[in-house]
Amino acid sequence: MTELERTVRAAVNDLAQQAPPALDLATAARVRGRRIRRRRQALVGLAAAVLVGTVITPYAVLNDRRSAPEPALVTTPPPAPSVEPATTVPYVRAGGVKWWKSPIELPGDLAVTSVSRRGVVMDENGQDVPAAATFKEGNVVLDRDAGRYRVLPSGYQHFEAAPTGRYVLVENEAAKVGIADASTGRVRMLDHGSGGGVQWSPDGKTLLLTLNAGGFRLIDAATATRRDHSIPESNALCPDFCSFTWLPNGKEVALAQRDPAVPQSEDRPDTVRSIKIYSVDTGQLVREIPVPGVPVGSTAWSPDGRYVLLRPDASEPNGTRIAEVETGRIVGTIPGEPRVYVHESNQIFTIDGIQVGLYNVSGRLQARIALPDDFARREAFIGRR
Amino acid sequence: MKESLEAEFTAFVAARGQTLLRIAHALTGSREAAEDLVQGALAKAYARWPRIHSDAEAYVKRIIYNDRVSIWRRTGRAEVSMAEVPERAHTGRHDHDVAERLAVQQALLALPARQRAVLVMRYLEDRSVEETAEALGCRPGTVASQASRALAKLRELTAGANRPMEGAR
Repeated sequence: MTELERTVRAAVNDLAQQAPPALDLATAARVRGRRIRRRRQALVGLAAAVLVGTVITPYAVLNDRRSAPEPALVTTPPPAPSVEPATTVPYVRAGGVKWWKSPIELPGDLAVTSVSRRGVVMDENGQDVPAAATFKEGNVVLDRDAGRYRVLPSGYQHFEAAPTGRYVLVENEAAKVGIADASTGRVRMLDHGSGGGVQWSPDGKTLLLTLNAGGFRLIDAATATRRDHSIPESNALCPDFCSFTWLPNGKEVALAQRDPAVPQSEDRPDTVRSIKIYSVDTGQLVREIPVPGVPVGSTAWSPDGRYVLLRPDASEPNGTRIAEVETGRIVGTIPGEPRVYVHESNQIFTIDGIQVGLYNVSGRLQARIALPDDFARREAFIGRR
Repeated sequence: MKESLEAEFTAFVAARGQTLLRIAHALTGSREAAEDLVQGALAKAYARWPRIHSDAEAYVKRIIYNDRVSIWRRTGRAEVSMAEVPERAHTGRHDHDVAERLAVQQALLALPARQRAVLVMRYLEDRSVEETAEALGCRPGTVASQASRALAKLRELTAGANRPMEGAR
């Protein structure tokens, strides 16, 4: 055997060793196998009309009243579960090979609204390398008017479609933010001043920016006009992550407050005691709720205001906690730190690479959806169709 | 399906599922694609289980290899790009060796599916040329030429790796 052959043998074995664990393959195969049998039976006239609704899909999980489109169905076991028993959950693929030709639909009238390069890519000289301006690599947004995706300029390091409407938040390599129009492709860069943690309002019309000096700025997406609420005292008890998030009513914003009784240390995350709620109109403190964590973002609040998802902290360093807003009680945990979107049904969507998870408020995985392979190593956002 | 056959299918998958996934991952380089490939093959096996259960493993492997080649033909492109090659390095080995194996992994995933299938059968499963030909539904001469072409391509693709790769010794 040549050296090349020995190396090939080793490389093939290396690849084989990276295989995923075989979790409940038999159950998944049975579901698909029965479909094959039924199809065959239908073809020979032994049975009819048995192909519809034979497999539970995440579309049913949301109890969607519409007749759900039929995705390319596959079932597979869940990833190695840390919280729940190893049960099979429905697993579907969303989007076809040329996924950009129509909205990638998700349960609950949701869709993938944008996808972009994840993070910064540098060349050997430390220069930013823009992504190719293609559907497969670049900054892509759902143009709801056209009913398909379009490619926008690729030189942005952050690219996030609003949860509804036509606007896209972009951020260039100088950390300057702007607003793009998904329908026209026009981009307006903003002179936003000193701040960060930009968040889309639930109606997709206003950006919320946390001011470094304390307080927040509202930027109208259509006109770029801005309005500031200076709240210097809001910085006093800022935890590690200190950005305002919208509440689902679009009339209030929230800021987590650390517990002053717990000494701060770089070795561990701050302990959060509560969340302060401010009025968008007046900038005044409205109330304080006993939620012990930092909201993951504006889409981390359930639309009915009952639950909010919290970043990992010292009490749960490896999971995203689900808190009951009224009491602050932690009612569930989702593994990892994915981006989240809480649907009006109180189902939680997690987006992590090409995997979308669908959880209930107890943190139980109910379904998994695979986004197109082109989304690997990219960042997808979801919102209203 | 009869209860005994159901139990037999379950036992087969439990016993051989991981092996099948290893083969599928070597063919695809992707965890998801590997799961999908194996599930598809097992589903076909389940649908025909009463007829094929006596030789289930050969049947399932044949489907895995042929489905993989068919998918590649249908899409007309490699489904896994070079950029998606796993980045995991193996500790405890010489740097050159790791770099070389990584380069070969990348090159393997860039090969046409049929050539990759031949290499996986020959080097992962230690199948003979005749067995490989039977599984792929081609002649032994074709397997030999595919293997030869694949190795030549790998030599070419890995020419820029950390050290030159020698031919026959």
